[in-house]
Amino acid sequence: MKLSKRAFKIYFKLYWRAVKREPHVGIITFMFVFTFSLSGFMGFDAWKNHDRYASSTFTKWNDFQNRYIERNIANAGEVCQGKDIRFNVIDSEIKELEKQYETGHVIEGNWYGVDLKTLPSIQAQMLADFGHLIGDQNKSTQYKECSEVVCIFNKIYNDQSGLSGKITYYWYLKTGSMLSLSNEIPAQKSDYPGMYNERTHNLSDYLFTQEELKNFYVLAKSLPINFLHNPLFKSVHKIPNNNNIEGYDSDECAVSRPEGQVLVNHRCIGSDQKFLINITNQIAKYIDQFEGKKVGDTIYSSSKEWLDKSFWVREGFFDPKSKKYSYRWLNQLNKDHHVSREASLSPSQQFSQLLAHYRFEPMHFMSKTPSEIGQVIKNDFYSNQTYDPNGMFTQYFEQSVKEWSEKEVVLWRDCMDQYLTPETMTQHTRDLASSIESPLYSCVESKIPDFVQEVVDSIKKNNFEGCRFFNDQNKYGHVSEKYYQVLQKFLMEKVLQRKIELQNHGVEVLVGQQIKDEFIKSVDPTSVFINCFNEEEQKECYQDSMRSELFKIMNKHRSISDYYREIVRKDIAELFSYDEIKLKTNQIAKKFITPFYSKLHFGAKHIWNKCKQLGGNENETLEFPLAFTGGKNYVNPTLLNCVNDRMDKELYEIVNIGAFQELDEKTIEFRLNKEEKEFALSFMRGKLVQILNNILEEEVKVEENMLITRLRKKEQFINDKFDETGVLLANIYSYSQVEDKCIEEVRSFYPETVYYSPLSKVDKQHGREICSAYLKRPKVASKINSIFAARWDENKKLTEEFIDDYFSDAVEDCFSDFPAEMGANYMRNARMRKICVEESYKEAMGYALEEWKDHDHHEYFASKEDELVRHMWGLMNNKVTKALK
Amino acid sequence: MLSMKVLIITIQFLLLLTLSACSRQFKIAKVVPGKTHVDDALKLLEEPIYAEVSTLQRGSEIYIWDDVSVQISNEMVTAVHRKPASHEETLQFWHQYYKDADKNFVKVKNTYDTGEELWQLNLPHYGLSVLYDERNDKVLKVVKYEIK
Repeated sequence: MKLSKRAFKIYFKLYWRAVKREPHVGIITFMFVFTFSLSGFMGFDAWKNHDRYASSTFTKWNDFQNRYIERNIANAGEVCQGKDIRFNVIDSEIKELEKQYETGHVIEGNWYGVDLKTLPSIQAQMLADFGHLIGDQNKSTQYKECSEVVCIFNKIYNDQSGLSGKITYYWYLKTGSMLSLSNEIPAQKSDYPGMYNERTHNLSDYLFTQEELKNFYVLAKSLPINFLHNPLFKSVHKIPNNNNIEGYDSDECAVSRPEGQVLVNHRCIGSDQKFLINITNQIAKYIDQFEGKKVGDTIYSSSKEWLDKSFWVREGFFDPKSKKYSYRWLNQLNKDHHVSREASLSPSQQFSQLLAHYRFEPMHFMSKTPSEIGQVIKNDFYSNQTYDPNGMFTQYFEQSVKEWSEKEVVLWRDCMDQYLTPETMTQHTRDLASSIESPLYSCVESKIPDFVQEVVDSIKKNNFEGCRFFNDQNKYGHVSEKYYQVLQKFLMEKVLQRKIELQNHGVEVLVGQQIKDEFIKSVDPTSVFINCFNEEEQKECYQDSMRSELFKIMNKHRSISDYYREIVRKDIAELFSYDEIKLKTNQIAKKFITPFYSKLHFGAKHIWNKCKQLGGNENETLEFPLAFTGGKNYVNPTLLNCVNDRMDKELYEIVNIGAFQELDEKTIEFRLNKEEKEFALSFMRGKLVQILNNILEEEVKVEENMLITRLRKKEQFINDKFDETGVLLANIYSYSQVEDKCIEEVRSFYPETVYYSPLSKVDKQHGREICSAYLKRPKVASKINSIFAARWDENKKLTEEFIDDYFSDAVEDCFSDFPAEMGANYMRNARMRKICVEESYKEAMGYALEEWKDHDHHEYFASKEDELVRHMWGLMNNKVTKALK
Repeated sequence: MLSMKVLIITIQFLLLLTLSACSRQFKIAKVVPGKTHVDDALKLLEEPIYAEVSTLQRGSEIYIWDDVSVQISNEMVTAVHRKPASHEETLQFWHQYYKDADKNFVKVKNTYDTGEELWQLNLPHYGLSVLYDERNDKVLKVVKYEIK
């Protein structure tokens, strides 16, 4: 012990000496101590948070959602309900949809007494996105007693049954858009909510009736998957009864605004079929816009591809007299080849009508539409699905096959668990190989009727025509019967196929099933799709990644032969096909990007406010290209440059934010990886532009109103005291000069920066108006008139001076040329002198006029030249007489 | 050596393309509404892809090329329609560039709903009219006409 203490002292002294001699020893020591302490702290932190683990991503959210569903979804029971919607069915549907968006994120804030934090994240998101479309916009109603959005909606609908609110929320979950519950129609003429077409309306006039809402419920179930969650389609608004859409004829059914709102006239949504066609027609306009962006940054129906196929030509004409542009679409197709009158009007109308009719009037569509156009609609927009009885059969059969592919593994696994154990595997494999009467097979076969029932229920529940397909014997009897027969045959064949495979390949088949099972459990195709989303060869990337994931699992099971590996690979490729997942892109985007949307709103507002703080310089050069262009509005270049400059930074900050969520007493951290960030960014950029556009629209209105209010008020101050110092009327020569000076003065009343109008426009709209009012005030006008009279006199005097300058010299010359001496020439000289003086005056007038024109003030009196000339003639006699004396 | 040759040929080819494109722009600019006769326009721009009698204005014809259309009345060019250059494609460019000019911005109205949202920005002192498609947020065409 003594020795070690001594050794320690010696080593310490040696070390201390080394530190003194070599400074880097000290630095190394410091670094060591620092690193050691840091590690210590980190270790302590890890120990303290031992139940928190970080993990990447969308997959983790999926995991969260899957666990959420297990705890929440109730059984819906019988599914065929027609338009008599049963509460347990819609409740279960809502729960199922709601869980898809449940990522565990929390949205902070308060909406009319409702704490957003306490709501499921998708409900909070709905209020954050569409809060302005809910309730009477003239009142500030509190909804403290509501703990969910359905309750809020039902209070507004005043629906005791509660169904209206449920359908509204269901529509939002299913389509991503909102059925408006507000008394303000987008772009309405009046500034006051509740005032439409110059008439006052109650809030209830703007609300969809329960019958109409039921139609929306049916429609939500009927729309193909690529019609859902279109980011360009935002809301549906009902025009109060007996009103036409402002700015449109009374027979205009509905209008889809470029900003994403559909305005619907109640007359056009009366009957069920009319409703489905008309609303789908409007939604299709956004499909047109959305798909167009993919093929070349234009509306699809105005792309060359579509115009050529459907024989449209735009004939445009500019009338140089009226300065108006007019155009019309010419179509070479016979009128009979259009599905409706509207479809024959323009390519855009034709396209949306075709999409609507293809879905809800398939027979009519087929009888009218040329096959080449029909093929485009069928292949590119309906993924080859058709909606006639045979098309229904194909669709439902394919759905069932897919369902079987997924369930087959589970089914076999359950039976294997029952009949095979690892210990008895070899024995049983031998039995399976020698017999087709094994209890394992009987077990699987016995599960088939339940599977068929389950799949039929699912079809009925999730497809508009599902119930009719199985229950309406007259229309669908032949195909529904065929469906049962073919499905039964298919399932028996599949079981038989597995039996044969088991006999031929023995245990390999079991391993194959196990691999498939592991793959389904552990690989999330959505995540793979997202990771490939921004790749140039998206499809190849997806397929390669899925294959590589499968091989990783296969490599754990080396006993499987190449032959069987290929069988499993094909199975998986069919089960998770690229085409199918691609159709769900919007849905996936909505699902996974939702947690960021609220942050986007804050982000957009943050950008805008920060940029406005910079003030505005009208003469700044705009930096092209612009991601956010300002649409049709003028935006101050400083503000616009700043917004564009900050957009990317803000987006990156948002996607870099992690989120924490408690689940099963563990804290999960959600953080996106590089590919996921890119996927999120590609959707969020468009969304951010949309939000910025909304902010701009609001801001433009606010600024316009502010200018009107502010300058109208200021008009009161432009009284007699306005020009107390007399600056305005000093050195003035013309009315426009006074007006310009006045506008200069009035500009001091403008706000420091006007962001959405150039200064010249504010002058024109406000400054000139105020000044004109001021200058017309009797006192001011009379003062100006007297000043102008004095200026005119000064001007005349100035001209007289010019005449005198020239004339006096000329008179002298006349007197020297024709002297007034007595003599023989006296009379002649007198006559000639007079003529000479008169002519000299005329020359002096010409000279004075030229000088006058060169004078600085000429511009103010130029219009009075004739009057001035008359004045000069008037002076002639007097001047000449005086000169001759 | 070979690659150098290829590079030179490519550059020359690109220069030639640029020059021909520029000269086309100059030729279009030489067609002045109200001043250019139809024959002169045809000499400058060569044969159109097709020509048609306007059904929207009696007595007017429209000559159409890929990059430009010319409106003719009484054998004189009355308006030239051209596609916007890339920097002219946003309406903001026009708002900013002509911020002090007298202008009016009106919706193009049609007798029937075409499903489009077209707007027209008129700059009467410059003899220009800009056609803007709100759904695409893009300027569709620029029309030059005679200032009277």
